[in-house]
Amino acid sequence: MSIPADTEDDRILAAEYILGLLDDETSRALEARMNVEPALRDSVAVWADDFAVMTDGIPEELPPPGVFVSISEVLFGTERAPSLLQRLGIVRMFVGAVAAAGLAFVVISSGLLGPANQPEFVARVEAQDSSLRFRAAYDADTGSLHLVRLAGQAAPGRSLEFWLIAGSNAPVSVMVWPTGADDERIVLPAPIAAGLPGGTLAISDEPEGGSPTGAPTGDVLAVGQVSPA
Amino acid sequence: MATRADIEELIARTALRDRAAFSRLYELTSAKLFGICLRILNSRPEAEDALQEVFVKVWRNADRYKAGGFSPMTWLITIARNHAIDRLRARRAKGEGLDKAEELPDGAPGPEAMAIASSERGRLVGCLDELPEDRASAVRLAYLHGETYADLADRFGVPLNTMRTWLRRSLLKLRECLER
Repeated sequence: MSIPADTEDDRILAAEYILGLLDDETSRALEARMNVEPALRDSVAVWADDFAVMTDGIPEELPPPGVFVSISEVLFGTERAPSLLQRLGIVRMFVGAVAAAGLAFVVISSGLLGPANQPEFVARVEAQDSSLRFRAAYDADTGSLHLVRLAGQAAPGRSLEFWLIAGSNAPVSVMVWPTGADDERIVLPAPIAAGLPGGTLAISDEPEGGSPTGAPTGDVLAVGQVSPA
Repeated sequence: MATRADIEELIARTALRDRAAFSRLYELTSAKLFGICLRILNSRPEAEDALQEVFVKVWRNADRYKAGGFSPMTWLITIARNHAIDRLRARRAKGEGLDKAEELPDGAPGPEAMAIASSERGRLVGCLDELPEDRASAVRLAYLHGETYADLADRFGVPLNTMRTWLRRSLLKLRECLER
């Protein structure tokens, strides 16, 4: 049985999709259909064009020059990065970058421009006795690592710090877990993300605010192998 | 002045990992996209973060541009709009509620929008004007403020299903008008 390509209902769905009015499940189902139904895909594209007119009246505004510098750092790294990392510890660079350029937290992105993003790499980072457990998922598309706390937390006055160990390389700090947080997303700079496949994620116990040296200083509390999703 | 073909070529070259093309694309389009982020988020620091994330997405997804069938500026605008709306919704979910700028529905488009609409681009503005005012306003609130059916039902004081039926009918009318 063939499905009519451009029914009234589909036209409305396409508009609701672009407006962001559909729930996640319906959006994903529509995206799956868009991949195989050109008429539906075209209908979505036409609505996107029409609605984009609503931005015509918004005045343009030049962004400050630092924004492009930050984008380049996230995407391409910088030549100075390794020595900076070694000298200051990447934690500090991270914190500094967050303060200066707002590098880190990426909020949920709807997959409006194609199939919903699936994580490429996942890991379960767990203590042997399961007293501390995190789940990690990396989405190469947005370059973001999603960490979810399932159990356990830092000791009072201490911090949990995530590290990525790629092969025989020294651990690289991924982030200091904000005390009390349950769920965090960070964009990983490309040179760090490159170490994920086959790497190991570990959590160490550190002084409040993270390791002062840029390398783990306290006990390793939990580890997990990164594997393809 | 960059043409549609220029932007399209820059996106295609970005998909091939051409950094110079990406940089040029940023030069040509970042002011437009930053303006959109700023309008939606109503905060400079947040709009700067959003713009950064938008261009990271553009770099990483440029190879998917062709598959969507969007015109090039629409593709970029849609990424920026969606990303800013996602941030705005996350902010609301944290309990900040609708901020002052969002309390009033957008009124008629400004003179600039009118000029553009009447010159070359879509007939959207004219077609929105053919809808009852509250329904046109609901469409604008969904697109520019990320309001959900639940938000809109609250705002207009109608049950959720009524709001949905209302807006769906209006969208169909809008489509008919746009194709007339």
